Amino acid sequence: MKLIQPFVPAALSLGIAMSPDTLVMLGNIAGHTGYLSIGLLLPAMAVFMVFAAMFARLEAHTADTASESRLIHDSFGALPVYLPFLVRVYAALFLSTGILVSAGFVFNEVFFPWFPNFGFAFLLLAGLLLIHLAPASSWSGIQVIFVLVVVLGMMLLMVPGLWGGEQPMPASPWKRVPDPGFVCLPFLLWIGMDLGFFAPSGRKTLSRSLILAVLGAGILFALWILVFIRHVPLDRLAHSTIPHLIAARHAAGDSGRIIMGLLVIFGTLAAVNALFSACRINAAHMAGRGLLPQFLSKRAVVPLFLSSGIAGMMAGGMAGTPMLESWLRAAWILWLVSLALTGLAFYRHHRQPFTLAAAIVSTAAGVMVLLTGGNTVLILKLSGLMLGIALLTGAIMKRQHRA
Amino acid sequence: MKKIWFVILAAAFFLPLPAAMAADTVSVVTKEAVKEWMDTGPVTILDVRQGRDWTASEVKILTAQRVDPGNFSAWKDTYPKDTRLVLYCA
Repeated sequence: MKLIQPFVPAALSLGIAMSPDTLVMLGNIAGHTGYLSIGLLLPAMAVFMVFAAMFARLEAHTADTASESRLIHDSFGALPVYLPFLVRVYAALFLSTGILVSAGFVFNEVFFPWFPNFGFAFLLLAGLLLIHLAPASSWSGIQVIFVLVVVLGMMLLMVPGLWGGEQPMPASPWKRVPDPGFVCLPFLLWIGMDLGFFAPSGRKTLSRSLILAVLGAGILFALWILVFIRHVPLDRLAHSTIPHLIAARHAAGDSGRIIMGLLVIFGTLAAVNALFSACRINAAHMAGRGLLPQFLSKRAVVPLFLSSGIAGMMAGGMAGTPMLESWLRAAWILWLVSLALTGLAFYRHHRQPFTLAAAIVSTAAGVMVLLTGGNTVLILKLSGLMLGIALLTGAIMKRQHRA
Repeated sequence: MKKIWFVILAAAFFLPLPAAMAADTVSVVTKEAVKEWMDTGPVTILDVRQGRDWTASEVKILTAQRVDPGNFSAWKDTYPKDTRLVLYCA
């Protein structure tokens, strides 16, 4: 177990990036922009490297994850303090609901057609909840294993993906229309890199871990873009909702489909476990500083709250409506804004011009994602609602502190 | 008091599980029966899956038309009366 501990920050950072949604987005970006998509990864990777260095420096100064809240409080007052924490909670609720259901479909269609897909989604959620209710900190070691399985699986599929496999599929006549929306989408691929900040172990090498996680993910993304383009025609890639399964099946036949099925399930576990862990630790540290009610510092409360919300949304059929994607898109936009907020606060204290630049680019990317992804008005309303809840929480807590 | 909260939250989590596992009591049709209908008259297959139910699935019937089940009145009259409609949801 001790051997695994230094890798926990990187495994948490890579959690969301290993989710099946990231592979779908990567395939769609590759379909719309072709080989140019590899170049489009670079600015996003640079911005997230700056943010990774910023979180590592925050840790070096205070060795306390509540330092993020304190930094924002000192720079902008009490109102926006809850934005980073609540953005993680929103993502934990909406992303987990979506990808757990997706994993259920993959389990049902790839492995056991007789097993109900929703039943499997609930089993995954129950399993993750049990990991977090267990007294030992087994979740951190398990997170490393989840991420390792996905990374190794992606690398394994790259062998036939880059060098073997069948002839490329025939492409249909399709004139690519340049879509500015896909220029900013790579910024969503690295979301969650800040979750490594909440690792309880391996903090001495946090800086190296976070930067290597950003870089490693970038290399994996670039190589998988090559796999996508080599195996799936761009028109199909651009519009497919399962480009990863199509590419894996074409590159390595039924074995590729089975490996990709496992990657989807383990990627889902990695993303949900990373979000549960980060939200729980974030809440506990904020409660320790008096920024949240004390009962939220109990290890079972946040995972139980998140699991109940996700279970309720799954049972209520939320995943079977297009609204889930709008909520999720709104959460991603707010996550970019929240990173920019922390970046600006950091700049005010440390005068790091790179952090200021990363904050500006991150905000611009968030605005571009909002304006170009469709359903702009609805997503703006949902983002406004989520932002409003965060600001209202700040106002209520400020009033309570005064009283 | 705290224990009561834990029990309530845990119950809220596990309550939907049986509902999700149980199959609804709707009439279903086998693929053989649909094939027989297709041989004898006009049949239109409608894929009524929405959101992740559709996007995450690898199994999609090529000739199926996608319709929104929540907006039934918008499409119910767009098909000829003599066409048998087969709604496909999983």
